[in-house]
Amino acid sequence: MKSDRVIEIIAAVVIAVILIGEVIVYTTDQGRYSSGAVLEDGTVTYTMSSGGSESYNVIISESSLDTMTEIYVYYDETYVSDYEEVSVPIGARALDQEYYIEQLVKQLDYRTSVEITVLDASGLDAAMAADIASGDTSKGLIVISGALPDLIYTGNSADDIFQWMNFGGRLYWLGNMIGCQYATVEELVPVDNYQILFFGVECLNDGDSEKAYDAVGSNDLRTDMSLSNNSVKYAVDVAALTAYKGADKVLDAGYSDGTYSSIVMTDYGNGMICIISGDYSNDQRADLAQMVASQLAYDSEILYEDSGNVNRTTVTKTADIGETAGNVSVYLYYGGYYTVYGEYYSLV
Amino acid sequence: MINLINVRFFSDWSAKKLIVLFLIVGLLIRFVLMPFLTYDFDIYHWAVIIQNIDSGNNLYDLAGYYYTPVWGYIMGFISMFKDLFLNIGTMGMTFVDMLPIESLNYPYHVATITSIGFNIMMKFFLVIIDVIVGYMVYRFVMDRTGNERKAAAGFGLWFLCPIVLYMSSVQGMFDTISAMLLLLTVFMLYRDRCFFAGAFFATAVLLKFFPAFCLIVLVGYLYAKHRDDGQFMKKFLLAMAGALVMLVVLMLPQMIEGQLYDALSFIIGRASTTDLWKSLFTAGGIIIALAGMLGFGYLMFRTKKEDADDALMRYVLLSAVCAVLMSITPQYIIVFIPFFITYLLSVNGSRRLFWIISVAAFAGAIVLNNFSLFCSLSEYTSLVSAEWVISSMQALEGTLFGFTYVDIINCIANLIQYIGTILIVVLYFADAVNIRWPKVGRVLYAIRGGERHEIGQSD
Repeated sequence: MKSDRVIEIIAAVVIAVILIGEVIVYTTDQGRYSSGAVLEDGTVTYTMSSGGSESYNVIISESSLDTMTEIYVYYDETYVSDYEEVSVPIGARALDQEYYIEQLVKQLDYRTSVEITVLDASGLDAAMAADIASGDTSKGLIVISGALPDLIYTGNSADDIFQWMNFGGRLYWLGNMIGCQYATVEELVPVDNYQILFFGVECLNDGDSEKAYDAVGSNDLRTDMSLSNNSVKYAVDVAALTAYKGADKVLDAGYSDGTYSSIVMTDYGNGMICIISGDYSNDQRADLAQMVASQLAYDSEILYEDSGNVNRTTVTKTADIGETAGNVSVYLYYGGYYTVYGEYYSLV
Repeated sequence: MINLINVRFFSDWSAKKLIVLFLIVGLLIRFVLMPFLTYDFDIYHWAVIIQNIDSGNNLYDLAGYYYTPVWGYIMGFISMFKDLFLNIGTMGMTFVDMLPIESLNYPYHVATITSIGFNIMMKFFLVIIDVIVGYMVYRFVMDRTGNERKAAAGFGLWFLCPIVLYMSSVQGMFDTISAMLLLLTVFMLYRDRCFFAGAFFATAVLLKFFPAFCLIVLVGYLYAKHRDDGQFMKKFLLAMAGALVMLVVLMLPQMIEGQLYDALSFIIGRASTTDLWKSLFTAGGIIIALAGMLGFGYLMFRTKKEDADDALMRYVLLSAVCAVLMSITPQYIIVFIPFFITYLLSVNGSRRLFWIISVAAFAGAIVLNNFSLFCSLSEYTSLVSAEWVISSMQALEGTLFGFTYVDIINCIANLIQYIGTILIVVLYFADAVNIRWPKVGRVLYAIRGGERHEIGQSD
């Protein structure tokens, strides 16, 4: 074969591209992103820096809830769980509880510097007892097992889960009807009046409606937070809950079918409940990570929102938010619907 | 278009002029298609992979990447290119008016639609690969025939092939890279650079699995070339070393991270489906692929040294054809198209079958994806509306005898593609068939055209 030189160069370039790509894949870290935010005299100054080309979103909000300093993730393979199996693409790992949590922890890890702790039933029981004893109001709990363990929930209003939320704990729930049963190591035990226990009113979606095709109309959190999950399975009827609790105690976000919303937050004592609707999905997990990392609460008021691009540079901007009464925080993330970095700043 | 690539139509043109013409026409078509038409599902996942890389995770830490690692590495390079030189902040967004697309009968759609800038970036790299493969086809045909006009026709057949055009500039699928790596493997073997041949072969297999079924043919070539000079074992070990080194280099991260299963899951997943019909089809396909690998490998081993170069091209083609029979998916045929073109031009074969297969594959792909190709256009421009896209797709989901129109047309296209692909193997045996069944043989000759050669004539 004549004129081999060109093909030899092509061969060298191909190998170089692949090997450089491999190095990029296994050496890229969060070090190329950074951010900061400070509050001074009613003005928030926020800084964003990226070594690449990314879009950014900034949400400055105010809430009465204390900042979360630690997030528990409940996972106990010795306890019975109850969630629907979902289909996954060819080659993908089955999206079971273990894999879901494994990925969730990674997704939270690059969105927040808040400590993430995976706990089994006894560990969770001990942690909650300690929080209750110390009056700690800065903890969150993610439950995706479809049933709380009997050590903290047995269908009684005096159970630890309710006391813990009363003190200020935030419960993030998905994958089944919240509280409809509790789990032991042997079985699932149904609970009566579970909706009353958690919400004070019957408001959960137990019908056939599974998908929402409209955005929640009362706010722009869907785009501000880049939310993608449009399932309303196990979701909360926003109107019913609002009628019972009042508009200041309920905040929904994401997608709505006119009755149910894909994300609903409401108060419980000094804490709150956040329902992320639907069976396990990658979109749902991304939305959960966004909601947990942003620490938005049922009474969050969005004071300021900004978005744009940051390309291989540092961008510093200011937002005049005036006088505030609650806890002001900034959630800042890069990548939009393909989030690659996030950080939460409490500016109290 | 058929006339366009029939170089007799441009009898006054020099080969160089023809290549420039094919290049310009092919690039023009691609540059027009790239921003306007995009299949949503695959490219959404490419964005997810770049997201996962940019977030500091590796290919298998987070859901989204289900292939062996080579394509992920190339995505890593593209991600680096984006970060260094481009200002593509938004890779895509979820659109409310696109949500119904996720509820259609055909499940491979998403409402998170990638931006036009991102689409162009991804496809640009694949267009470069198209040009490279086109050049390699040119060189291979030139080498086999010594005829520059034929070589130019080879470039044109590849570069203007509908399914190649579609996969690089519309769907954004990377099977052209698979073809390029297999061509590089064969090139290195021709040049007796066995270490590099092994390295490229391992890379090709770790991109998409089909080239693996050419293994015995490739080893057979080494044997045919070196059985007389006693160098076979040395060359074979060199090739093995190249493959092993590349295998380790490419898979080392997964070995260290304990993610080997994840890295191979696409192959394992395909082989372990729970659907009975799919299982039977997959099992049947694997048997055909293995039979092809062994059979043509055997013929390659029997080949005389002086015929080995021609035979390698032929048997790589036939092994790859048998391999892609494992799955009726339009883009998979791309891996053997460069070899098919080279073979056809080498034996002056009729191009009818080539066009039938490539047009059928193109038709299957475009019917399956149909109006979803306008998703990005509808969301990022005002040229078409999302409502029109969705309602058009829903209209195509109307049924006839319980099957959607899309299914029916796609099934017909797939069937033509599949039969056409099988015919490549059958036509190779036309001479043997002709001896036993002359009537059938005459039909096969009519389809095949070109020069007759008895089986084993050159072996």
